[in-house]
Amino acid sequence: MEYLSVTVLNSYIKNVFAAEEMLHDIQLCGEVSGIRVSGGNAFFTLKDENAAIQCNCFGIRNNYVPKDGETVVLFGSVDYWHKAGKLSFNALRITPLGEGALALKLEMLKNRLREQGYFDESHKKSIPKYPAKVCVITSKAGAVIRDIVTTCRAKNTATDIAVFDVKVQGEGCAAQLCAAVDTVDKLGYDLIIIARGGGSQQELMPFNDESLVKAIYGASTPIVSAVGHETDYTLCDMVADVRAATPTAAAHLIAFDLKELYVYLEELRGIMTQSIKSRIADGYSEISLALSRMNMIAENRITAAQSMLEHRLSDARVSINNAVNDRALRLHKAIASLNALNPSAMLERGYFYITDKEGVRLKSVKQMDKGKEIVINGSDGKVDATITG
Amino acid sequence: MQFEEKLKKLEDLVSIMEDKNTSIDDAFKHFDSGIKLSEECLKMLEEYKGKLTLLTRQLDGIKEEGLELGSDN
Repeated sequence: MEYLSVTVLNSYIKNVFAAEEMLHDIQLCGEVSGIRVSGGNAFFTLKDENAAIQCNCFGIRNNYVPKDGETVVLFGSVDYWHKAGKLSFNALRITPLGEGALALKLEMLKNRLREQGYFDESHKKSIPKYPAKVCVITSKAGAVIRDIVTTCRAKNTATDIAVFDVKVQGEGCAAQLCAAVDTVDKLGYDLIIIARGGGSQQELMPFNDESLVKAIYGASTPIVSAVGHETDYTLCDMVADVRAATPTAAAHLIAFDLKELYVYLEELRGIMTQSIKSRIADGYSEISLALSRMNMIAENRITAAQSMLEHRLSDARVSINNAVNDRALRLHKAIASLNALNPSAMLERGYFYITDKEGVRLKSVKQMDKGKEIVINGSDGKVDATITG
Repeated sequence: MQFEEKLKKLEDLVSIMEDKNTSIDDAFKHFDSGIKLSEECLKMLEEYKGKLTLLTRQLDGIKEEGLELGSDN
């Protein structure tokens, strides 16, 4: 039969406890009972209505020493002492309930709301740069609203600033803040500022209210949270679209310079006018370029056509000249030949031809019998003659 | 449209007009819309009054009244 030793079992149990993250660096709230301080360490039981756990605090001199019956918040880890097989909670820090529990509760709420997405950056709306109408949810009696108005007016006398008066601490404050956010959200303001001056953690607690977080998250108007001093960080700051470190910083966010805005608008108009003028000028240049290109093309065509025509004319002239010269040559030759064959020319060279009286040319001496009257024709005239032999 | 949206739209139109790839026809259209938008923006700015008011919840709704802030409280 197999078995484990107590040492092995307890070591195993210790490892199991050591490995469980849920049991380490946790905050534990309960009532102290049977506290005993010995050699700088404290040993007590922490209990609530249903359960109890043994607790140790080693180095109690550096810690708060609670009394029996006091409710405290411990920060530490669960530890298993394997030598004795005992389970205990090792407290590194002991805080009395007042602030400790409050902080713990707030931390838990913050974590839960964060997990639920209430602080997601993706949900945050952008803040208008030039709000016309702003509503500040704060106390009308506090210095805060005066600071905001004075800071804003130093630069801008244009933005409407409305104040929605609420309690900023104490009982009923959170409910008033929620109702104010819901109401103002429907009034069409460009921006809502939730503002409060500095205060204790207790005084600022209404700004950590879960319903307020949900009201701010659900609002459609952009919301700036300006609660407390720079070092105070409330859930209202975390859920708001923008957190301003102080109310004065919130005023700087909305205080745009109206004159600068006018100048900017004029600049934009100037750019547009300049741009359209330049486009028109570009248009004219393009048209002018196109026209000059068309002119150039036309001129080139005309020049080419003229040149072609001149070539053709010149060719034609050459061929006509050739033809004329050729014919002139032939004519001269013909004339020369003709001249050579011209009977008159023969006569001029001293030849004569003979005809009878009737002018019939006699081509043979046989036609010239003795006594026949003939006519001798020459170039310069004719004479009658009679054949004598 | 809120002032902010109009201004943004105006800025977008200016960017488009400055883009050389925008056709001249489109540039003219944007110019007309841009001038109209800028006039609307200027008109909206003139309507900024700088009022300081106190809102209080009444039975029949929200009451708005003038608010004077003391120099000290």
